[in-house]
Amino acid sequence: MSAPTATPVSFGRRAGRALGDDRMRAAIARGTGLMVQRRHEAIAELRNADELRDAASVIRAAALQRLPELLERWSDNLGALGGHVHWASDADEANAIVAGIVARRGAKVIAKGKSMVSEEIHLNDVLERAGADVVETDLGEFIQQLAGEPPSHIVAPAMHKDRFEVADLLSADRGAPVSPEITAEAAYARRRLRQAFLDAGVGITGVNFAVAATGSICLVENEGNGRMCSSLPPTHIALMGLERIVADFDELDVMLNLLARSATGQALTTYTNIITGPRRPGEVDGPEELHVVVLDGGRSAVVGTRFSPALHCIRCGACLNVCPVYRQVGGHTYDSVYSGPIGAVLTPLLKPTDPAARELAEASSLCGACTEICPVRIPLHDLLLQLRHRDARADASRLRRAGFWLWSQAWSRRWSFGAMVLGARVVLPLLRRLRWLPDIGWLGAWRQGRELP
Amino acid sequence: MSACTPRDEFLGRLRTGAAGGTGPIAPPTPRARFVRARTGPDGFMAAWRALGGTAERVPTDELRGAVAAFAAGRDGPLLAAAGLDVDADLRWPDCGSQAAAGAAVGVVRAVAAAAQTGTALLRADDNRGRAASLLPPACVLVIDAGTIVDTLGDYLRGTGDLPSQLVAVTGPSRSADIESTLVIGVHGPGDVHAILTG
Amino acid sequence: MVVRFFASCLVELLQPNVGAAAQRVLRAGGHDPQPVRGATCCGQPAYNAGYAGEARRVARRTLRALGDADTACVVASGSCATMMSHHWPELFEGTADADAARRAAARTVELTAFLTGTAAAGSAGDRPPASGTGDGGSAQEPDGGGPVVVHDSCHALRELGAGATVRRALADAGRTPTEAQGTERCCGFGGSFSVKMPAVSVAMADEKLDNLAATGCMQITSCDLSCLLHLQGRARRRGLALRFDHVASLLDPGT
Ligand code: SF4
Repeated sequence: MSAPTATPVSFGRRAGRALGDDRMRAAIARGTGLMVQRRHEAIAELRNADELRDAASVIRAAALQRLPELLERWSDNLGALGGHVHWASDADEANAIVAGIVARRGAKVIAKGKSMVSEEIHLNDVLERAGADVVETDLGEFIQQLAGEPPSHIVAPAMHKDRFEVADLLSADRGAPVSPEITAEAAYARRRLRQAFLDAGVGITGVNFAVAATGSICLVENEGNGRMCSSLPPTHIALMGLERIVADFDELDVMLNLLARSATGQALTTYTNIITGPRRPGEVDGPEELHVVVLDGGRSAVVGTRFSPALHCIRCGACLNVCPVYRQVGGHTYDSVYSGPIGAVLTPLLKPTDPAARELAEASSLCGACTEICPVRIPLHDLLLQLRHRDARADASRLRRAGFWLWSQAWSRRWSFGAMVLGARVVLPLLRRLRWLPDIGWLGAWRQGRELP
Repeated sequence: MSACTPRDEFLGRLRTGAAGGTGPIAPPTPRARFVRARTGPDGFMAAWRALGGTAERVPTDELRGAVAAFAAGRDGPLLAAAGLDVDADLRWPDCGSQAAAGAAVGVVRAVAAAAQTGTALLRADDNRGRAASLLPPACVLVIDAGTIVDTLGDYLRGTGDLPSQLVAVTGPSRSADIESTLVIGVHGPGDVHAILTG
Repeated sequence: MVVRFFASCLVELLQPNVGAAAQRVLRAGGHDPQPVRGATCCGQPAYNAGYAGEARRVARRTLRALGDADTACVVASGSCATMMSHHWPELFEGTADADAARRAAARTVELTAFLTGTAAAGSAGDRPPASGTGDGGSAQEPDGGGPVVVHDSCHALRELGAGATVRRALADAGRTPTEAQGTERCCGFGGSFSVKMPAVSVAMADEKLDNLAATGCMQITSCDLSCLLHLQGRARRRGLALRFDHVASLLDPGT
């Protein structure tokens, strides 16, 4: 049992700050509300949504069970088509691989599509330090890059901002006013980023699914920036977590039928890119080189444990949208690349020794709304509970542990419990009448905003 | 090349876990069933229009006229992929990417379409590249009505060889990244017109 | 029919009248509730905080008090019923009480689920009277029998599917449940969460209270006292004139 290391700023503190930001909270409430509503409508278009979700859950579990076999097959297939697969044990390796390719190709401008793995490994910092000009091209990510902030939502990175804040950022970028109208803002981003696509020496994207049977990677997106990043620059680098694999198109079909519906309420995203190797003879564009970097980053330690369902996640963001905690405090409060319920589960798993990461398992009332909506049926609130069972005791103060021990002693004997019952009847009315109470410990925490029962 | 973990070592870590690749597993792969099934050319056009695209069906020999009518009055050249029997100011791929980026309309051929979702399928090898359907703000997708299948999954299962890139286009480029409000036409074409022939 | 009755530690500690009311409701339904003597708590507070050992120590007390008879065990709390029926088997897995825990889990049923479940099977004549004007047993003023808005507790809603049974039990008793916006959204109690993350917990309560108050209905009920005490504590701090009563108190036919 290790002594708890004090976290610099606790989740509670960060949440306190977030709760004071009414503008952010209004944006999040609106954004998540709309996304949940669209998701419900899109799922309702399926006659057999439950069957598909059950199947998706089995598909993901089976994929994890045969990961070595599937990854091997996939990389053999992609390799045979001229694609390069790189295996990265951790963030440093992944960054070094990407930086090495960028240097070898002499790329100055890098056009980047949305990739949560790149956020996970802090790739931009590494590339920028090496002198590259990294341009985020997803509208939300572009806004976040201008703001100097990480994404606050895995699907809608700038959900916490309203259009006026966006206009300020775009105006500063332009050096002239951009009107705070969403169409004008999107039009500015289109113009502004177009040249980056044409100038870029390297395009970087994420990967939604890798298909073992064909060696393909599948990339879904709505704006077209993913298409640009994977089509125009002479080199395309795609980043994926090692769990992102499916066996074949039958399985991919099940996943695609759920992903966009759960994420944005669409039947399919506007662009479903299925990329199978680099440009071929006879094609005039498309990348000459295709590299896929497969990241472990702590995942292999989770595979095969009771926590492995966390790796079933397809990053739809639905659990964030229904999470009542996320709704109040937004994504940045989690201080982690992955926020909301899946972030609270995944972060302590990928960083098992980081107390700040482990604390995230406490950031839930265990209401289960996440579990209910997850398209691949990850028992998120149950995993949070199990994480508490893994960590809470080790991370708690001596006082807290003693408190639970005492409680268990008192509550496990009828006479002492009886004494508590009597005590409560005497003490509570008394406490209620007292003008001043020592607001310490749980009493103080309860009275922060609430009267005693 | 940069130091990366050898594949065997990387995969070996996954074998030591409780997972360890046991025998062949065949998960169920049910097909999606829909409350409102859309099939055939009419189904495709309805789905495509619902996404914000426009669509028409013409006899094959009227394709030229239909494309010209769509492009009429636009501010900029019309770009058509090689092999399409339409009048064009620019021909892809001869014109090059920079010229393609300056076109007002790109005309390309879709190898198939999925009616249920309003999805047109573009192969990188078919149009000899990718930029013609991507860079201009408007895109005309020419689809042979006979190639329409029900769903994207049906197409994927039925296709043998895969090109370097297969893109399933489902409506106009869009984003809801600002205030979760839908805007059409971000990086890809916002004005998409499907012409079904035959 | 004899049933075992477990009020929950919170009810015993803070609102014993709810336990009494629940028993009257059961009797009016033709049942013979036998309180589980010696039971204290299901262990949930420690279990949800990550303290399985402590949870087991406490839950074992209640499990053993419950005995091993075949009778249903009716629990006047959705979250405790969930703890017992969903988590006890895992909690006692590998211990001498594992079998007993599994059997207890299978016997456990939340109060309104039990009432409405038996309503379907049993005769209508056994139902509590439809007037439903609670008096006498309630510590607070009689609630008047008017409209009532149901707060869905998460455990009851998601794990037990009890959202419907609370409403049905109220409707059976002649009460008209009103619906609030966002009823599926957590009130922010969450056991230790309410004191570990008090600011977030209170913010969640505020949204819930706003939605409840927006119905115009002053009477709020739920099958979980814990949620109600949290919401009531917040409502009082905010000076909101809302009433919070456990569903047993509203169903109470009186003595
Ligand atoms: S955990 Fe489930 S709901 Fe959450 S992002 Fe992943 S797939 Fe979506």
